[in-house]
Amino acid sequence: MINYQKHRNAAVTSEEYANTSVDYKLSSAQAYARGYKVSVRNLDSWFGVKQALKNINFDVKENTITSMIGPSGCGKTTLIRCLNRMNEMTPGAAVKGSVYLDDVDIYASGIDPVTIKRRIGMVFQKPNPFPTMSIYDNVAAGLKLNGIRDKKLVNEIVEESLRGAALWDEVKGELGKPGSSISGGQQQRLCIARALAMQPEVLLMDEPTSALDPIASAKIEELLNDLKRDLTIIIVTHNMQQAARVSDYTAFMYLGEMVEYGSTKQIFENPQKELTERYISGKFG
Amino acid sequence: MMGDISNVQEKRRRAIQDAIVHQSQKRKLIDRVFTGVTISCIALAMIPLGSILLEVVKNGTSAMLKTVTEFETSLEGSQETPSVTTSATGKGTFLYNDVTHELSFNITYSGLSSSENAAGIYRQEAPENDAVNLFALPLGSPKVGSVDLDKLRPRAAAEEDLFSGLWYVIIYSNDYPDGELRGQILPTGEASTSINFDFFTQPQGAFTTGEGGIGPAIQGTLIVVGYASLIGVPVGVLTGIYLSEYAGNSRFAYMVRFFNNVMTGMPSIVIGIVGYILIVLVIGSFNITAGAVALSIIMIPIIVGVTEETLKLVPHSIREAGHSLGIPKWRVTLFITLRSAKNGVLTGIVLALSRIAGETAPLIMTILGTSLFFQFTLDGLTNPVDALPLRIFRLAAQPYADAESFGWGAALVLILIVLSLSMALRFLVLDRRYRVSGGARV
Repeated sequence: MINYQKHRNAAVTSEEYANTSVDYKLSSAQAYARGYKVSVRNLDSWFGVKQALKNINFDVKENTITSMIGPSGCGKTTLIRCLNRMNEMTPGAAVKGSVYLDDVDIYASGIDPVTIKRRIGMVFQKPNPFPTMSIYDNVAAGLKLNGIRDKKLVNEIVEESLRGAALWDEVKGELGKPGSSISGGQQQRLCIARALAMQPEVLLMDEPTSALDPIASAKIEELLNDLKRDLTIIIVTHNMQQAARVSDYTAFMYLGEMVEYGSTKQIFENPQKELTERYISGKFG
Repeated sequence: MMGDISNVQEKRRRAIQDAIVHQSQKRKLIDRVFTGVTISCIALAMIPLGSILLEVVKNGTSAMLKTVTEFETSLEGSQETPSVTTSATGKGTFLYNDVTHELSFNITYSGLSSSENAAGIYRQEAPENDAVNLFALPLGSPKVGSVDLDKLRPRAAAEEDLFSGLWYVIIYSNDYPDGELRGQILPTGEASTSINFDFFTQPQGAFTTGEGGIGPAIQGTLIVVGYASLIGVPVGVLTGIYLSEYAGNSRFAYMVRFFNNVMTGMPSIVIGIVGYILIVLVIGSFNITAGAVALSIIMIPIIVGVTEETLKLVPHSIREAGHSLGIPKWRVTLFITLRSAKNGVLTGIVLALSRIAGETAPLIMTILGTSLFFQFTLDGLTNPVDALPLRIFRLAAQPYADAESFGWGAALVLILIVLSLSMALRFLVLDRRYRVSGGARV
C-alpha cells in the first residue's frame, strides 16, 4: 500500500554541509537530483514585526532523520511549521523564501496548502488525539474526511499505520475505545499512526517525546528508526542526547539563524562553529 | 547575647505559627459558613419552585384524568312513599363519567302489574315538597341510554346530589299512578380512573360542559416550535461557527457579537410586534409563519452565544491536528471541531427550545390562538394557530371552573414537554463517553 519511494543514491559527502547557513551552493534542482527530499532556500519568517527566521538554507536527505536542536525561542518550531505551511494558520505570521519538496516550491502561488499537508505530515508536542472519536476513527480520520469511503481499504490502512506506529499489538482488540482513554505514550503513537495513515513522504515531529516518560520516549525513538526506511523525518528536540541517539543529520539553530548543519557525528564530535560547541557542551541554553 | 537573639527568633516563630493556626481556624469557619449560606440559598430557591410544581401537578392531573363511578339501584314497591305492595321488582346499574358528565343507565324490571305509563329520575326533596323530575326515562325494559348532567344548572350541585344518593328512579304504571317501583340511586363504591385522552386530542367543547381538551394547543405548540427551530437552529449554529472559527476579531465580528448580545435581551413582546408588522400585516392574517419567525428571533441569539462559547472551548490543538492531516478547513470545522463541541451545542439548542416553548407574548401578536387544529394545507398557512402558552393565557381569563382546570392541565402538559426535551437530550443524544482532554464537563 505504501508507495515506496525509490532510494536515490547521493554522492554528496557531509563535508558539503560543513559551512552552511548562508548562500547555499546547490540549487534546489541539483539538490533533488542528488537525493535531497526537502530543500529550504532563503527562508525568512516574521510574527508581526518580529523576525523569527533569518535566511535559512539547508537540504534534507531522503530517508534520513534530521534533528533540529537549539535553545528555547531559537525558531526551531517556527521553521518546522514553515515546512508544511502550518505556520500560515497562526495569525500575524508571514513567510518569504522557498521550501522545495521534490524540487517543487510549496510556497509557489498555484499550490494548495491543504494538499501539501497530506504529503508532509506533522506530529505535535502534546499528544492530541481527537477526543470524540475511537482509536480506529482517529487513525482513519484523515482518510475518511478526505473522502475515502472504501471500508476494506480503510481497514487495511488503519492496521498498517498502527503497526507502523508500534501500537497495533496493544490496541488491536480495543479499536472502539475512545482515543483519549489510552496512556500518554500510546496517545502519541496514535497521533503518529494517524499521520502515517495519510501516507506522507515527510514526517515533521515537534518535540514528540517531551511530554512523555522515558519508557514511552524510548519506544518512540525505536519507532523512528523503522519509519525512516519509508519516510524522511525531521524532528525538533530539546534533548540533545535524543538528537545524538536518533538522528543522522543535526541542525543547530540560534536566534532564528541556522548556525550549523551537518551529520550528527560531525556536529557532536567536531563542531565547526564556536556557538555550536558551547551549546553542545552545555555552556548555555 | 546569642540567647537573646534565639529567644527573639523563638518568639517570632511562635507568633507566626500561632497566626497561621488562627488563620486556618478562621478559614475553616469561613468555609463552613460559606457552604451553609450557599446551601440555604438553594433551599430558599427551591421553596417557590417546589410549590409551583406541586400546584401544577396537583391541579393539572385532575384535568387529565377521567373517573367513571358506578351506581346501582334496586327497584321495589316498598320504597315508594307511601309504600305499595307489588310483586314487581327491578334493578339498574349506572355509570357516571365525570368528563362528559353523562350518566349512562341500564335498568330492568319485571312483573309490573299493568302497563307502564311513565318513568323518570327524581331528586329527593324535603317530605312536604313535591319531587323534582330531573330526567324522563324511556319506557320499557330494559331501559338503556344516558342522560347529560350538563342540562342541570348548576351542574356541580347536581353531581353532589347524585353522589350523596339523593336521586331515585320511579316507574309509574296505570294501576299505580303515584308510582309502582322506586329505588334510590346509590354509589356502589366502585370507580375507575383512567387517562382522559380527549384532553390531549380534542378541541375545547362548549364552555360550561368541561368537555374536550387542549388538542389544538398541543399540536400548535409542537408545530410552531418545530417550525421555529427549522429557521433558528441552522442560522444560530452557522453564525456561531462563523464567529468562532472564521471571523476572529475583525470589526464585523465585533459588531455581530454586539448585536447578538443586544438581541438576547430584547423583550419578547417587542419581537411579537415586529412579527405582526412584518408578516401578519403583509400576509393579511394571523398565521403560523409569523409565530415561527418571532420565536426564531428569540432563539437565534441564545444559540449563537452558546455555540460560539463552546466552540472556543475546544482546544486549539485539536484543530491543528485536523489541519495537519490535510483536511480542508470546512471539514475540520464541521467534523472535528463542532463534533468535539457537540454536547455543548446540543444543550444550548435544547435550552433555546425550552425557552421558546413557553413564550406567550410573541404568540399573542402573531398566531392569535384558535380552537381549531392546524391544517396541513396551503390554506392552513394563512390561518391562526393555537399554542399552549396562549391557551393557558386565554383559559386563565375565563371564569369557568372547567376552564381553570384545563388551564392547569395545559400548564402541566407544557412542563412535561419541556422536561421530556431535556430528558431526551440527556439520555438519547448526549455523548457522555468522550471527554475533551482537560475534563470540561458539558
